[in-house]
Amino acid sequence: MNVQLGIQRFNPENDAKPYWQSFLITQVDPAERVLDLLKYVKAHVDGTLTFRHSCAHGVCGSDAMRINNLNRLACKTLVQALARPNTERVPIRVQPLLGLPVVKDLVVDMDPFYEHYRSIIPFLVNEQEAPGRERLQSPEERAIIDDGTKCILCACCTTSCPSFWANGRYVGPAAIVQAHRFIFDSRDTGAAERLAVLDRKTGVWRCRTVFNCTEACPRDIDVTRLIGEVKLAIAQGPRRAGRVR
Amino acid sequence: MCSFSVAWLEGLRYAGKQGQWSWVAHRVSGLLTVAFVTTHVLDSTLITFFPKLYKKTIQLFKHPLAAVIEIPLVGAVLYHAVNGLRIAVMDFRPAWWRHQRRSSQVVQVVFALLYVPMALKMGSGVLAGLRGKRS
Ligand code: FES
Repeated sequence: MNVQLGIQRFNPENDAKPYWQSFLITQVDPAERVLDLLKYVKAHVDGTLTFRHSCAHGVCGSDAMRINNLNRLACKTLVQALARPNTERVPIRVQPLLGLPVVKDLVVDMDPFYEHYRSIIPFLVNEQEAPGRERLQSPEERAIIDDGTKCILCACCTTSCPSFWANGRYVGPAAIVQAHRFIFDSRDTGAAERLAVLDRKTGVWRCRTVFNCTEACPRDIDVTRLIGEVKLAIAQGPRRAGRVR
Repeated sequence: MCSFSVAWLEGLRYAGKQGQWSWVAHRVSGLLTVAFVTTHVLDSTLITFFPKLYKKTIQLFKHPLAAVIEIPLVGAVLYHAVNGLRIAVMDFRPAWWRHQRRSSQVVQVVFALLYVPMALKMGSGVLAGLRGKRS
């Protein structure tokens, strides 16, 4: 199998704007991943190609990018998944995530994304004195926040959201997922503060129920459902909105 | 963040699924609905302030071209209403997210069932008007 790999390149030191560069890679194993192709280009064709990756197994979330016009992790996207039936040459186009400033080639500046993450107080808040051992939680209580705990902060969801493209001050789906994880945590007491942040103009109400985030999540989190539950928590209070609490 | 035009352009280029296209259609039909409602508000205001102009405007609306433009406008209002209900239901029942793709298809079917007969009736009205004029 051959791959025609198009990569959106941009070097702020030399380029006024991004441009496309194409590489023909032959004899590709269909089970190889887009990350393997990028590593091949960097090692054998153009050492200046810049992209992030770390674990290479869908755990760290550092190689999120736009592949064939969809946000995905390069390390979890197999070439065979992008191939059309009966085609020998697979066209693959790789771009940086949209909505965050491009630092170089496929690397975006994640600072604005992390700022939104920080704004929702992403840690356990509980002023009560800690018990001798851990704060206990029933399996049912844990199940409510289970989905949110799977998030790896790769930004696939936030940068697939039209509301975020249009207005970067919107906290975005990832921050809301993280907020949900603590708002509905039976051990946490900081829900009111987080809901106040998310009730602002830049909060959950900017979600237009487009579902791009749910479709983009490489961890199969029901992102739009979690956002919907936070909306209900603001409107009706976290206890009524939580399914079991 | 990127500019408004980039957001629109990328919205169209991004390979989103039914939800994204429903959103695009919702936006476009929303803009057309605003145009529809604004025109209606303006022309009814004329009755009070400029009754003569109102009569002229109504005459203008009877022009076959205005009647033809009305057909997609009614479609826009109808789609916006039906899809708006879907979004409201999704917001009140987040657990139904599982059916989101199918829900967009249901909206399309309901819209087609309501709109096609309506458009046919409006279209035949326009044709009848034209024929009447000619004879
Ligand atoms: S490299 Fe870690 S998630 Fe892809």
